Amino acid sequence: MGFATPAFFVYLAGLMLGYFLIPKRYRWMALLAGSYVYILLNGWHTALFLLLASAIAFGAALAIEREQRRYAERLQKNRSQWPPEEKKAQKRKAQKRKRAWLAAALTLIVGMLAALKYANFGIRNVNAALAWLHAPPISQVNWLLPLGISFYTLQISGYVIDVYRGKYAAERRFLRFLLFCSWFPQLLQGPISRFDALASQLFEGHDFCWRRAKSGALRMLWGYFKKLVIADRLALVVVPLFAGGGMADFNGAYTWLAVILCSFQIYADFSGGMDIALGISEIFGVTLAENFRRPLLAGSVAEFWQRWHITLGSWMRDYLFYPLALSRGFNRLGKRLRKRFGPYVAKVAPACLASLMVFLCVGVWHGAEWKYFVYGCYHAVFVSSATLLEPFYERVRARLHIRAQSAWFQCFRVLRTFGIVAVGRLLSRADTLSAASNMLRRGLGACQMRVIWDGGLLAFGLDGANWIALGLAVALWMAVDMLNERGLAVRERLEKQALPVRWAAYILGVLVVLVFGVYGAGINTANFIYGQF
Amino acid sequence: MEQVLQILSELRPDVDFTREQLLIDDGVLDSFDVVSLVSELADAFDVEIGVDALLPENFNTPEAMYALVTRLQNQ
Repeated sequence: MGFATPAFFVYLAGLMLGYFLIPKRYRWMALLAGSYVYILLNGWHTALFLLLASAIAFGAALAIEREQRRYAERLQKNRSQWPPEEKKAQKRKAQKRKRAWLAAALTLIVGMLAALKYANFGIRNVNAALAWLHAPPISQVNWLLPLGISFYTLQISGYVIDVYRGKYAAERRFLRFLLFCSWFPQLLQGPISRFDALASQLFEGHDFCWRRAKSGALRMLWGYFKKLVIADRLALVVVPLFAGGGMADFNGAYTWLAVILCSFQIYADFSGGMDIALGISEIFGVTLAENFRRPLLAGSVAEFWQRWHITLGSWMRDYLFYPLALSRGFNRLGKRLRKRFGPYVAKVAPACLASLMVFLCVGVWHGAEWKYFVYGCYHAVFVSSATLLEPFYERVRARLHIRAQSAWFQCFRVLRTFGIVAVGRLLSRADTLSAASNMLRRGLGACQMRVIWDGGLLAFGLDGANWIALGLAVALWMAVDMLNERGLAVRERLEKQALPVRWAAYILGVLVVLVFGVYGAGINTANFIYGQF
Repeated sequence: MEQVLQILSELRPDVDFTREQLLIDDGVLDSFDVVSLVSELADAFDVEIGVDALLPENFNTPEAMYALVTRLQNQ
């Protein structure tokens, strides 16, 4: 049951009625029951694995906290008797026990993701090696991937790590913790929430607020506009374009059309899904973390990752990048590099190496295929080289008398970043690495741009009227993005307009989605691109 | 405190650290800056700054950074 199906609206209306009609202190139970009904409607195996991961995290966090408490009690009791060495030894002992609980929990939780998502990838690669040795292949497994496992694994792991780090206390009520792990709007494709930001909002019973409900519904409407009017219309062109990517006679002009359209499609699809998830949550009085901040306006690849899929980026930063970059091993590496290459390289190289490892994880997180591995490397190279080569770029700018703050240079940076990210999409979106390589090769070589205007645009399932509708929708979307970037807060402004203006806009919005949305027989509106990761 | 300001101004000469109050929350310092900053502060003040101390409230202002290293020195 996807967000864009009639059944979903019936379900949502039922949950709202149930939530706002029962006494306040039981309302979180309605959210938990509603979330599990949603999950079960999407398949029992998701409920089973989610329950298992939640139970492991819940138990491990309590055990970690118990170890910490015991150590604190022992220290309190023996503070005056223990010499400093004994205090340190006891602290190390407690730390070791806590770490063992953390390692066990993460092994099990991440292990489930690894086994279910990457088993066949591993088997395929082993089989390639076996074929080389003329040995019989291993059969692939037929395991169903639970809905949203890539997202909830990170969210639940983050909770255990935070408790280990002492950021907040472990939750003692299992059912409440289950709700944090299973809140349905974010289950499919995030945002990846933090316990301290989300849990109390879910547990607190919220009164019905007409203004908040309207605001949430408006955000949902904007999400449906992006998903149904833009992303699903673009999909009609992007899917056949990439399907032909591996063909020897693929026209290179379509490479550039594919990467540009695909960039807009994936942004509309993912951010539209986020708007729907955040809008639903807002109706229930829950504010989820924002996942996008106008990524198409980023001036560098590093900035792009601060604006795109923000909650994944901040998760990777807090739980992977910092622990790696600040580890003893990386510190030693920095000291060694200082002797050989000077302070600048010593300062940035360990961070670049940590960044490379993080981007490999980001790439592989997207899917169990080599193309995602290359996709991660591709972004890592741009992010790390920008930092490492910054002094060189600065000298080049000075020599060419380019003012870094000038409007045209900022414009150039935005276009350059869009180009780099769009070409990266080729790696993640093409069926295989060889198809991506074929498309890129032909895009750089056998490229006759005129085929696009000589009927090529109309050859992929969209007629002229549809292209005009698409163009207008994208123009509106980009205009809203630009206004929001300038701090105009378009939705809030619309909500402050006079009643007839507001309602005219709401009704027009609904009509646009209903009339121009791409749905109906043969079109699966339930699928979000990131929902498949 | 002077030493913290000096480390910061060497790290990011383009930022006026006496005026900025939300260095992390506003994204003035990025994750690469934070890694460099932590290693510089650790060396200068002879403290070990763990990952659990990497909270925005400890790095949003030079004063907060100074308070963090002082707290770690006293531990």
